[in-house]
Amino acid sequence: MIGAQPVPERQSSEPDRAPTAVGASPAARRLPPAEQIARGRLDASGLLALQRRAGNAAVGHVLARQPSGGVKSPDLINPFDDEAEAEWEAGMAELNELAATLRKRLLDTLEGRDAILFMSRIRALSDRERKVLEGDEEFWRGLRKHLSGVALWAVRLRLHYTGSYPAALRELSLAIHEGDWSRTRTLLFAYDWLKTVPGLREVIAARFPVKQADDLRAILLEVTTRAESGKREYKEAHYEKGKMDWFQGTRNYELVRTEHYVRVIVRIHLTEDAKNKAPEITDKVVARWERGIARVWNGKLRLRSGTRTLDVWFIPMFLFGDAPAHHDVTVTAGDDRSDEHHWHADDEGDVAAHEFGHMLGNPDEYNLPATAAEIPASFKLTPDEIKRNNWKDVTGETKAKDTDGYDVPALMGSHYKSTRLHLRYAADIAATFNATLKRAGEADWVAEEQK
Amino acid sequence: MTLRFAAGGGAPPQSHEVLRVDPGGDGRYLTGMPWPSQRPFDEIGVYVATTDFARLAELARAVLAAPAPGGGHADAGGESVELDGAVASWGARDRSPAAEALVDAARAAIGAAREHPLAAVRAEAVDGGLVLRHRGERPLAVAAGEVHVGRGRLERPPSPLRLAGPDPAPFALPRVLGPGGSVPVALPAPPPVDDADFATPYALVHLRWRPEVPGEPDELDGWMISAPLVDSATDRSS
Repeated sequence: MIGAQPVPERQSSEPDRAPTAVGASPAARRLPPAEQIARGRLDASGLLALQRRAGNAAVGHVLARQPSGGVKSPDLINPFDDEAEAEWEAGMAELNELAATLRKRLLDTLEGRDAILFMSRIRALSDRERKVLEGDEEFWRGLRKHLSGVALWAVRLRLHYTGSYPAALRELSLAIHEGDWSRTRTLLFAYDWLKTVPGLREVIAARFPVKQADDLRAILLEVTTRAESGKREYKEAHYEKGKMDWFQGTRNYELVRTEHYVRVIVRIHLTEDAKNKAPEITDKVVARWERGIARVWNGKLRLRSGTRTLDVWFIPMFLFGDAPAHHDVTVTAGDDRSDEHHWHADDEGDVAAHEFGHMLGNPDEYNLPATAAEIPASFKLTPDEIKRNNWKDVTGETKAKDTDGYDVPALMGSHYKSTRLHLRYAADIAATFNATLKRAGEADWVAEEQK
Repeated sequence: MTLRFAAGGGAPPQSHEVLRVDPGGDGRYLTGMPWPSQRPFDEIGVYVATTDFARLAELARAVLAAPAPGGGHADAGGESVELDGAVASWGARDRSPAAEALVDAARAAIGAAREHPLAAVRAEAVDGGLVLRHRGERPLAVAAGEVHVGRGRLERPPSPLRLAGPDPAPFALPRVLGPGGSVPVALPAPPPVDDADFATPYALVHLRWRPEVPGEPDELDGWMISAPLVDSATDRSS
């Protein structure tokens, strides 16, 4: 296992298919044959390729040649419309001329080893010029003589995206630049759309050792279905300083179903506490939490439906800046007491794993009342919540009422004694899975221990 | 008519502090684990509190008049006040302005009280070892001693969650620690250093003790976080 975070091993039986992602290579955006263009014989993908390469005006030309029924009856098009064909050829010639000019202007800067001027010219391109260059095979051939790996990818991204990149792409770019395999695969797990970022396969091959690159390319090929749990507040009740009280937690996560796994992705947005005198959210701190959550949660649970099983893998996705998240956590210096949405920079991995458990819908299991009867009706817990909040229902054991309450020696209880996971900690995940990702004909999936 | 301010709870091991004040201004402060709010963290017990009851009661009534909505997060612990048969509680991070004023006043009284131990015990780090030393004039009943050794930052005592573990080392205690009494504690070896930022060894002592304060439980857990277990001869290298 490489990197800080244990992650699912890939199944060796996964087929190694050719790249299929839209926009993954220049070839995918090559122009359709001129004859087809001239005669308006283009299907939707052909039109899309033309639009990317030559802009909306060119598509307009083609559509004008098509019958009112669209692309379904190309045989009705007049194949002898010489005027339109000449117009089209003139347009294409203009585009080719523009591409040649841009290509020369940019590649010349690299011939002179002026990378700063090159990037400055890239940034100054208009949207149309960017599109023309992005689809220009000769430009990329010329560029590859000067740039490779992440530098080439940076140019590709600059041509593909207008303005600043989406937050997740910025994170991916950083992870790939740093050769951070674990972070790269976590990001690809978390955001399906990242798999379609242009140039990804090429930069992965250039930046990572063969085994890691193979693993990342396999992730790009994965077929997944996903579902959000939705945000839900839940209540818990236990004794606090000798008196029964109620508290609240928030459940919110995403499930991703693959052939062999269920990934539970929790996007956790970290913010510095305004009181911090120095930055506290460091790579080291986040890595400690990632390690702790992975150690406690991963490799323990799976879902079963009949003879089929899916290993459950938990992926905390720590986010910064403006990325949308399932949970917002404020991080304060020191090691005071933390809760679900307020952590401390010195918190150990076990503490992070406990708070992560809350994010999956699990209540605390300390200071529990002996029986459900000790929980006042005025707290308005649901029947399911009551079952998770008293010793008798949680453990099956009978005890006398004690206003100190009872602690379960497990992750959601007195976790300094044990970080053991119980199957009930996956109850919400199983329920969400059955409600959203269970396929027709499948029996309900239930949580069990990984053997 | 006693005013009772309490702070504590949270994920185990739990914090525990209580300030009880009578209308005459006399009172008691007792703590089984003052971390994280009330230094020093290496001492537990009962203390003599003398404060302005009328002022504290006025602040408490303001809190009781506008109780917090409840439903905070349990792990961070909470605070509460009782007076005239009424109770209000709130999360440690969810104080109303009225609660903030009450807590400030209570903390000032508690800070002063800690200078006046009645029956307390301190976990003193001495030359890399540990001694439990009685403070005050009244004997303190204790039992079931056990100690954990872990590591934290040199500049501040770590969270007990960082020190506590599943396998504490038990140690013998007399039934009662009397004034001037002390008990040496044999320490297990500290765990290896797995993070250079948290390399300093500390001890976390856990025992059961009897506060003997009317209105409070007969027995409580006591948790003490020692000062760094470092001396000139040992452990500099760790």
